[in-house]
Amino acid sequence: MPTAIQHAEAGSTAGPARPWIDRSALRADGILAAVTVGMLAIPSLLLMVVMVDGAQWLLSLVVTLAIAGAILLRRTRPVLALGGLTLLAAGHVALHAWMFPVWFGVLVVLYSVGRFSRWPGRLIGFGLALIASLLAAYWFVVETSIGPVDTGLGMLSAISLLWIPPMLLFSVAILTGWGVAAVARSTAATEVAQVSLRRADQEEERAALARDMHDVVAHSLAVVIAQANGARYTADPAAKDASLESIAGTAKEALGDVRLLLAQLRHREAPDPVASLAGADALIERMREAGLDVRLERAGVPVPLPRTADIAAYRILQEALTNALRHGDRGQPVLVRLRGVGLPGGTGGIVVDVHNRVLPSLGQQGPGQPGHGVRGMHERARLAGGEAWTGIEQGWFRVRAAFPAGLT
Amino acid sequence: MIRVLIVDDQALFRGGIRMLVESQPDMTCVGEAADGAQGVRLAEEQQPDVVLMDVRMPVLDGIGATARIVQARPASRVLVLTTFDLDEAAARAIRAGASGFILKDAEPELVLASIRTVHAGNEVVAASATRELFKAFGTQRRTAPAAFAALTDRERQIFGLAAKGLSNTEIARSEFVSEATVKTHVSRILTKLGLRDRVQLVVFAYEHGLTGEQR
Repeated sequence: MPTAIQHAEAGSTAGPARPWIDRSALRADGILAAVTVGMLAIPSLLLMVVMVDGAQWLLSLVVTLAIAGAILLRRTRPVLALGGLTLLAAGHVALHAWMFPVWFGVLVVLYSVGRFSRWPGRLIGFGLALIASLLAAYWFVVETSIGPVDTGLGMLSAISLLWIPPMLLFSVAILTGWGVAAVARSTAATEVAQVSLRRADQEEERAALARDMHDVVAHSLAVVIAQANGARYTADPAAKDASLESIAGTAKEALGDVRLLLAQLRHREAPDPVASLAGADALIERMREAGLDVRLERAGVPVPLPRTADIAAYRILQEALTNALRHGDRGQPVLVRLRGVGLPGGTGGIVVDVHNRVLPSLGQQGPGQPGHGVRGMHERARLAGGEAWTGIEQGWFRVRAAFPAGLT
Repeated sequence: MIRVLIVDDQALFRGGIRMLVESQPDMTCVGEAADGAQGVRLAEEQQPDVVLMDVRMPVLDGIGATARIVQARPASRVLVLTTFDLDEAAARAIRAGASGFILKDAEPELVLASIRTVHAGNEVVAASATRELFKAFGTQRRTAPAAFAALTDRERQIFGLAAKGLSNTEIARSEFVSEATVKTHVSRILTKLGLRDRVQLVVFAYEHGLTGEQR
């Protein structure tokens, strides 16, 4: 029984922190209770004024207060609240009191059972809804003058017929709450996924930076040291000259790489909190400043991408351009194409293409094993629901990433 | 003549080391390889005494290449070249059978001395660095294997000192015995424990918690 469990919880959380009470939620529910009761009270009052005596007045007050109280309990004890109201409804019917419109407030509580309880609570909720609708049907048959229901059989058939509308109404209320709960849960899961994706993004960037530092600084300095030591020890004057030359060359190249790394680092630190294809122009501008001849072509129609896909698309573009700058033939232009494909019904997607000439020396070797960056592209695209293709083809290194437009 | 093979993916780095090696009257460079697989091939062809081995290389890395070279030709000693002094890959290469490691930025005198040391085979290259390396990356299995029980008390004492990276001369001095006696003890210890050389002894000591240090 969920209510029993909730009681136990309430008893055990006697400390200052009461996680099951959320002040802002309580305030919202207070307003909701006031609005519901207030709106339903107007027709109730009219009814009171027209036809009833003091006892009915008192009962209607009790019902109103009970509805308000149930709404206040709807997040923490929805099933208990519904149970209480059902019991009260049974009393109401037994007392042969008049129907008050304020009873419609029970729909809020039914919705809350679907929204805030787990599956055993919901089952109990359906059971209570069944009982409550039966009570409503019974009340209709007994208290209103419908047809010949004097015989027991006639009354039974009338009740079974009148049972159905309130049952449907109550069930729809619970199911609505259930559906909203499912949507809320999946939204929360998506948010968690996005946060972890973003964190993985940062970690990966840091790891990539460390790798780059190692590649640039450690490798070239090791060469410089080895060459300098070799030159010190060798007797061959021509070899000494060649060493000095390669030291100068290596150091110069390393400095160029360090400059590039710093440019990237500065870009990463720059106020660029969100990576998005909307920032593609700025990214390409930076790459041009670093000495890459980037030709951008936008084609098709603008398509809004889901946030994760947008980040992934930007990062893949960034990685592809960085690779082109670092490993490609910088003398040749790099072709970038962003193509939006719109299909009827809001579907479609964006295709990112980056083509750069590989260095002639690399082209002869053919496609080598993919580096970390390239593997990262595939991984990233998949995680964001898209797909990436990479490869060397006739002297071009081609990167293509496609992302479907989804619900944003 | 010590026959040296250089395995590193950077041609200019190999060139510098080659000049250094060639400048020595007792050494000759018998080849250069740009990756581990090529290194294994050249080691078979050239029968080098000492292989200078980079760790991170394309095709086949230094760890795999070390294992294959040591298996195919136990007389070849492998000296690992590494960028960082606490490099897990270097530890794995030593476990795969390398005789020691030196940093790529080591003084040329140290590089040359290390080549001679592993070639002679009776001392540990960069003993303290090797110990630090295995402190950081050695996987400890606390129990000593049965073979260790076969050592005599004297041999265990020598084992302890050798595990600290002491040379034969140092052990001889601290134990008041001749260097030849130490040599005999050490080679008997290596045989009993089934170890290749002294650096394997250090590794063995670390992996079995026999260093005598309380950690």
